[in-house]
Amino acid sequence: MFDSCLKCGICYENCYLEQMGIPSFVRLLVQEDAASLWTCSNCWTCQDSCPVGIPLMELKWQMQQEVQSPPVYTASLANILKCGYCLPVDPDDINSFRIDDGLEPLTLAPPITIGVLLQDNRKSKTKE
Amino acid sequence: MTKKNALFAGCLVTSRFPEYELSSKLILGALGLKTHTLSEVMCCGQVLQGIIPNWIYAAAYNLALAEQNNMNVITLCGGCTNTFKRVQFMCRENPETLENINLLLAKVGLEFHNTVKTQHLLEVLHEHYDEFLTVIKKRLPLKVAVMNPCQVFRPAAVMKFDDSEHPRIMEKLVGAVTAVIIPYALQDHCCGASLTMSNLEAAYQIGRTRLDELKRKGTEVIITACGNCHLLLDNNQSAYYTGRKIPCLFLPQLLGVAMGMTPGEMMINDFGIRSLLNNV
Repeated sequence: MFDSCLKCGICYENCYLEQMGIPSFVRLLVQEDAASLWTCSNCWTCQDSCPVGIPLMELKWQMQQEVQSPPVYTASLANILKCGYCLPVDPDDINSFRIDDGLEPLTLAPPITIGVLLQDNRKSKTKE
Repeated sequence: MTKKNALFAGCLVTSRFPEYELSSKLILGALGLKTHTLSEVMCCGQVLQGIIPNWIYAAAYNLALAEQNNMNVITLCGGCTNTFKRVQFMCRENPETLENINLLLAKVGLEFHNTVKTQHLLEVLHEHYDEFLTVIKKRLPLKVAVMNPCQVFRPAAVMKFDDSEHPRIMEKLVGAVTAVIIPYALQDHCCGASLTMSNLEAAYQIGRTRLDELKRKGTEVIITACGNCHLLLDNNQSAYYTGRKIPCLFLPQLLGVAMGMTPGEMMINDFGIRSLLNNV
């Protein structure tokens, strides 16, 4: 997918992080410079501006999946496996407030269902 | 048979922002759109994309639940909208993707036919713009700036909503109920909130740059339409911005007051905003 890159730099020029002086993941892909693979806010501007249609965001996520995630991501996955949400959500704590507010109560997805959906069958990740 | 509507709040809104969920439910109700909370939903998959390829199954699972309940999906955050629409796009473009999804969903007793319509709240309001205008009862004396939820608009080929580079529909909705909308340089750029998970200082730099400009231009309230934008610009504001706070309101909270609902009903607790809305 990346072979078609023209090295035109349009993705880099359009990245608002780069415009603000923050080295972004685009630099890593286009120039192989030192920059964090995780410095991206998922705004999609780079991919939408690529003249040859390289799926930069998908490539970024594939590269991220191969390395150790920052701790907040790991914690998010642990929360999801436990309650379905990436932040702690306990119906026993919030349903009385939800009902008082006029919202329907929550029922969590069964952890066994979440486990089936998210079972990662790949080999263990390499360290970044 | 007419489909019902599931209001998909997602992780952040469910855990932190009941005011966004409730005000959305109330204003959609005022437009004749009854919404429901789907049981047993999970994370949309957004945060999983950089961790495991299975994120696609999380998104598809939620959509299959909606489909099973004969519901379309109304989302409140950019990320949920983005993952749902992309998975639906992938299933349309590549039947093998849908087959693979169904192989796994069968293990949890579900199947997915990709018949669900996913729309962010902005899209629903825009689709009902004429009815929306008929239920507006007052114009609010506020100087506001709009924070567009960027993932609702991009990638353009998938999201197919508004101008993907210069979104203007949120401004149109807000402009129908407020006195002044303040244009600003970063208006079309992402809020930067996702970076709080991996590069906190970068997220704060973006937030600070935005707030500095908005303060110079006399902004009283920032209007948001995504939990992530709201989290960075409102809840986390004091961590990176030392000036007097510029509070945020979720779009449906603003619209609800303009529709005649009270700030209390819209769960508007910020003292500054309540003062501005006094005697409205």
